[in-house]
Amino acid sequence: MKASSKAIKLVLDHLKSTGRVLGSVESGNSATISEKTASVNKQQQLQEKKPSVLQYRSYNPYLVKEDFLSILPENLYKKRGQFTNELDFQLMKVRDPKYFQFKDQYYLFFNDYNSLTEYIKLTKHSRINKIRVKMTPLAQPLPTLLTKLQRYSKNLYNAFRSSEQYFEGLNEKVDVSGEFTTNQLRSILDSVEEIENKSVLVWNIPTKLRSHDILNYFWFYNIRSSFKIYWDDEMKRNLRFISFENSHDAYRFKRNYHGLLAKELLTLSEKGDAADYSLEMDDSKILIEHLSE
Amino acid sequence: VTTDVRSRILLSSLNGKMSDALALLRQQQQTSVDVELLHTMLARAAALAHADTIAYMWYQHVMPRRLPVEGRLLCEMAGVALYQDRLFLPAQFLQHYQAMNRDRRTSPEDELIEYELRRIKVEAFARGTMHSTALREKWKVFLQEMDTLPGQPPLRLRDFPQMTKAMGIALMQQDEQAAALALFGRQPLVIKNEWSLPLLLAGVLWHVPGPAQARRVLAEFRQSYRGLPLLDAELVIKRRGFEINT
Repeated sequence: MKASSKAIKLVLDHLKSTGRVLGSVESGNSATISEKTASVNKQQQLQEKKPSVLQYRSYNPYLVKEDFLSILPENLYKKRGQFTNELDFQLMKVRDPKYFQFKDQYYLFFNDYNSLTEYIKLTKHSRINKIRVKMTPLAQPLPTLLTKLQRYSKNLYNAFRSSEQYFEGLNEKVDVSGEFTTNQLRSILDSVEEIENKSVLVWNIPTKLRSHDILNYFWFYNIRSSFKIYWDDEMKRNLRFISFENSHDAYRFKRNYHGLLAKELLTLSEKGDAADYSLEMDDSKILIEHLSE
Repeated sequence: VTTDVRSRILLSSLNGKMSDALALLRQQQQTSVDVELLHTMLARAAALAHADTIAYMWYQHVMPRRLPVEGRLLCEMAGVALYQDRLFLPAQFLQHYQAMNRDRRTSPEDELIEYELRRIKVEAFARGTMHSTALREKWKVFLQEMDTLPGQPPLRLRDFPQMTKAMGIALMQQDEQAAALALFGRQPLVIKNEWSLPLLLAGVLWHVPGPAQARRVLAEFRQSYRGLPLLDAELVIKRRGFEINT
């Protein structure tokens, strides 16, 4: 693991310095890094023939890695928070690449096929929240999966940067070139996780509230930026992407305001007077999802 | 529940039509609904902030059948109940959680959930008594729940928007203003967490009319306490544009 964590660091640094998601690099300055990375994990090429990704379908959007660790025998007598992960898998909540909505499935990424089969074997009769787990190796070919993952990762990264970058980026092609290694995959997952920790999606913030009103009203939180990622004027629905300086602020924001009536927010923020209040009699609610839940 | 009805309930909740799903569920025999379906509906109702479904399922299924509900989901349900004025529910969720976890040793996650459920209980009390009940009572409920939390986590003003709002309403009355200041002196309970009193201070500072009163409040506070974390008080003073050195 020593060598691979070094590689992860390299790739992450690269990502930070160039703002490019792996696989979309084409210029010379990254060549040295790619070479280094390649030499570190020459032998860790992902085996394409045998799957190393498990798929778990669930309508429950609240599952976390701990839930998938809790059903392993090694953790049976441990407290949550002290679980070990000997099979060394990573969990990803699958979201659509454009609007980041949960797709009712989770992926478990393993280092190889053997770990995957081991996990299936060990958790065969287990239950998460009293529900029998049924996991299936992902049938999708790996390159297809990786393209989707890159797409998601890129859009998420862009949204975190700015609305301009997000909308411009939507039309750009994600080109997945070269072969993928376990480490590259891991580094993508790591950087995705880092951004997800600091991001929330919010439905139904009244359109009357502009970005600066939001920054102003929620001054107690370190908000980086907020913009409308989707809107449907006819249905009076809109979805905002709000990014925070740290994950705790994102978490608190979600906990403190999920479920608030939109019209109440309007009166609280003093943007709505009595007349508006009666106009906005619909009972739409502020729905907040912290991307890391 | 027939397979057909089950899939119709499921489909409605997944499509965000919680009212339809709830109407169907109401027609079913209580014991005939399986746990998986209940969990899915609860999770969807929480995510979509559908308080009617949460309340119905709580009273008709979870309570009578003593079903375990995962802590994180309870927190979500409690927040929704708070904002849609089902103000008795959060306290029940907390009780349920405590009863279910009595034998378990606490993990960091348990502490987070306990914090959250107690916080929402305090908020629900503040919301329900927004225009009635003296500030002193709200403060006492706050102390009972938050000050006694194991591990003494930081308590921040931003996490109590309902309580903060209620303080503002109380402080508009003369006698309550005096009472608020008196709270710095005589405490209804022995205080354990160093963050508790600074939260009260920050809340008062958020509502004082101007810098002169803010100075007075700070001086009053300092007469009794030194060395407490005044992070929020400082943020509030800065935000309000007062030029005061804390």
